[in-house]
Amino acid sequence: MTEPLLALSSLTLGLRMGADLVRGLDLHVNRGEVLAVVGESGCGKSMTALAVMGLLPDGVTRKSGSVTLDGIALTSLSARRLRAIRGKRIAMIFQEPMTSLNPVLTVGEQIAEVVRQHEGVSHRAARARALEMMNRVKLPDAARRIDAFPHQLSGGQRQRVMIAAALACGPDLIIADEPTTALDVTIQAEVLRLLDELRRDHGTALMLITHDLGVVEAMADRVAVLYAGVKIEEGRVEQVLDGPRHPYTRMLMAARPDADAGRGKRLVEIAGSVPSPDAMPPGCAFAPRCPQVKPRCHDRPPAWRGTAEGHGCACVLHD
Amino acid sequence: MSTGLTTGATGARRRRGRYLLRRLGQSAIVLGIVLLLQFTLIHLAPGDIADVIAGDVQSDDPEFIIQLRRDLGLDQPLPIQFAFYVGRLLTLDLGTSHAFNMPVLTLILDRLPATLLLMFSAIALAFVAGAALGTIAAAFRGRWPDVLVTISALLFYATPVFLVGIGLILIFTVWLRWLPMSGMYVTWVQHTWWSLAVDIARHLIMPAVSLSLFFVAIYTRLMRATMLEVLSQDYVRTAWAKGLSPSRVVLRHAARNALLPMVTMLGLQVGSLLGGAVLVETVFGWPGIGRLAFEAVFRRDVPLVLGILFFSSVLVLMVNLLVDLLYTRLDPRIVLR
Ligand SMILES: Nc1ncnc2c1ncn2[C@@H]1O[C@H](COP(=O)(O)OP(=O)(O)OP(=O)(O)O)[C@@H](O)[C@H]1O
Ligand SMILES: [Mg+2]
Repeated sequence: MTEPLLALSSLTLGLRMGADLVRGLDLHVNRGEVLAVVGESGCGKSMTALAVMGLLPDGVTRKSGSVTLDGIALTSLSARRLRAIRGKRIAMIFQEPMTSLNPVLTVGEQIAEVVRQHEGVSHRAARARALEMMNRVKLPDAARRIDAFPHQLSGGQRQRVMIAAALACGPDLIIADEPTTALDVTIQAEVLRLLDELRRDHGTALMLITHDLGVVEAMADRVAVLYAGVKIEEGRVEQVLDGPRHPYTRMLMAARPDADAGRGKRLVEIAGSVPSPDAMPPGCAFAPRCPQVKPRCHDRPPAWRGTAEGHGCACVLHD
Repeated sequence: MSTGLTTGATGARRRRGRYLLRRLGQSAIVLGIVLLLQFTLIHLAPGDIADVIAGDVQSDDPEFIIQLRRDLGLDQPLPIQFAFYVGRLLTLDLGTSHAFNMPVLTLILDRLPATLLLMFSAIALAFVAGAALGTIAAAFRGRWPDVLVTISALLFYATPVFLVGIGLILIFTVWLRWLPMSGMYVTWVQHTWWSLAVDIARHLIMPAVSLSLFFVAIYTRLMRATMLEVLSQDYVRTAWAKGLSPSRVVLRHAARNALLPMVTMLGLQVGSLLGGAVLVETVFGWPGIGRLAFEAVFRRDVPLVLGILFFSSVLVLMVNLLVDLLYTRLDPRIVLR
């Protein structure tokens, strides 16, 4: 097996002098593939994404573990060398297109500045690239819109601008944190299809954070399921969706309103609630809600069990 | 579609013209109200100018005072006096100063450039220093540059203007002998344009710094608070995610947004800046409107006081209008209506 493009190994994130939010996470994204990361709200998906970018919010730190891109340990890189990678080799698309663009800069400037930062080209060349990117993300009337300000665009158009900026330097990896959750249902699919199409053309890998199992099925190659900051199942999409092994994944699947009409539906909440980071049970985090809970589940966290086909799961039922 | 995209440059220009007209109209109304208030206040005070003049010429002949009142129009009912006053203002006839025995307009126009120079220097200094210090404080939040800036701002804020002035004079004039203590330029030498400019600049430094320190404090605190807020915005995170350098993120993405409230503050501060100018001009013998106002009030020179108030109100209103126009340039989201 070739080395993965992005590898997270036993990554633990937590509050400074406080609870852990993500615990011992191993995750990898291969070149050109789409890894979906799913899990209930608050399970640490966004923190994981931000940790890869080295953009954890104030108060949250990486306590241990590492992030490696193409053999480069991002987690031990100087701030300057990390900046050379952000936007150039890894780009990120955020959930809120309304607030993720700067209101006082034109969208053209906001696309062009990535190019200028990383390729040192002239203003003019960067602007030409911005226009090209805007055409590529199919923004209607791009030649005029290039001088528009974000508030003059719709949510879907803004997210296209974000995609244009993300792809402008031809990154190896895009991290998209629920890129369409804030959008109108009718244009969600459109924007996702665009993102998928463009990343295929560029051979760009995608780490897609989503709540939507329909999206996972349609777009992803592999999927990782997180629960309370821990990876509980991972595998190829068809393996996991067709044969979920962890009780939590099974419940997620069962909770899908209709497996066939699943697209566009969010994960339905399961009875009970996720333990809060500062009150993690000593055993399996899902044990308090698990219908198949065993006495030993409460003793210690279950070990990770993989299969030869790359379908792994952390549950005593599979020991 | 009603976005700004569909309307071309001409539409925008026409809208800007209409907006300007409407704002001018509003300003005129405000000015009228201000004048009325000022006029009423002045006339509420006991005694009038006829008493003062009679005192000056040491006459207590009642006939003389009555004649004087009639000559000055002081026997008319107040509304009529006010109407006359406004009518004369419209032709820029501000009357004659009794104290200086000169036309009020001449007196004010003589002193106006000095005050404008002082105010402009002070506010520019305050704005630039405040923006810079506030940005530094926010960028180094909680570390020593922040602590240093915050403490300095507090000091600037709490120190009275005249104390700053006297302190500066003690240090830079008495002790170091670097800067002249008072006036606007030395009168006993023959100046070339250049030497005059340098001389005025040397005289300007201390008054401008004294006048600005309080506002430096205000702008620093405002800028720091706004920058902290802006730096936590999603679009700043996006900028970091693009790999932009810290200076680009802080200056291009954050500071530009943080400057918007600062500009608003600019308009709000002109009034108190004028108030501060009275003190500073008196301390430093700066030949401006502020000192003139001080003397006018002291000598109960009603036409001069009213004239100065009129000019100050016009100044404040004009600056606010300019600030609003500037604001619409800076913030693309504002649509002129
Ligand atoms: N700025 C922050 N400081 C401290 N804790 C935070 C911060 N932001 C989020 N958290 C906590 O970190 C945990 C993980 O949050 P995260 O945003 O990664 O969840 P998520 O899986 O992305 O959820 P969602 O689906 O709602 O986006 C949550 O418990 C949250 O309360
Ligand atoms: Mg999230």
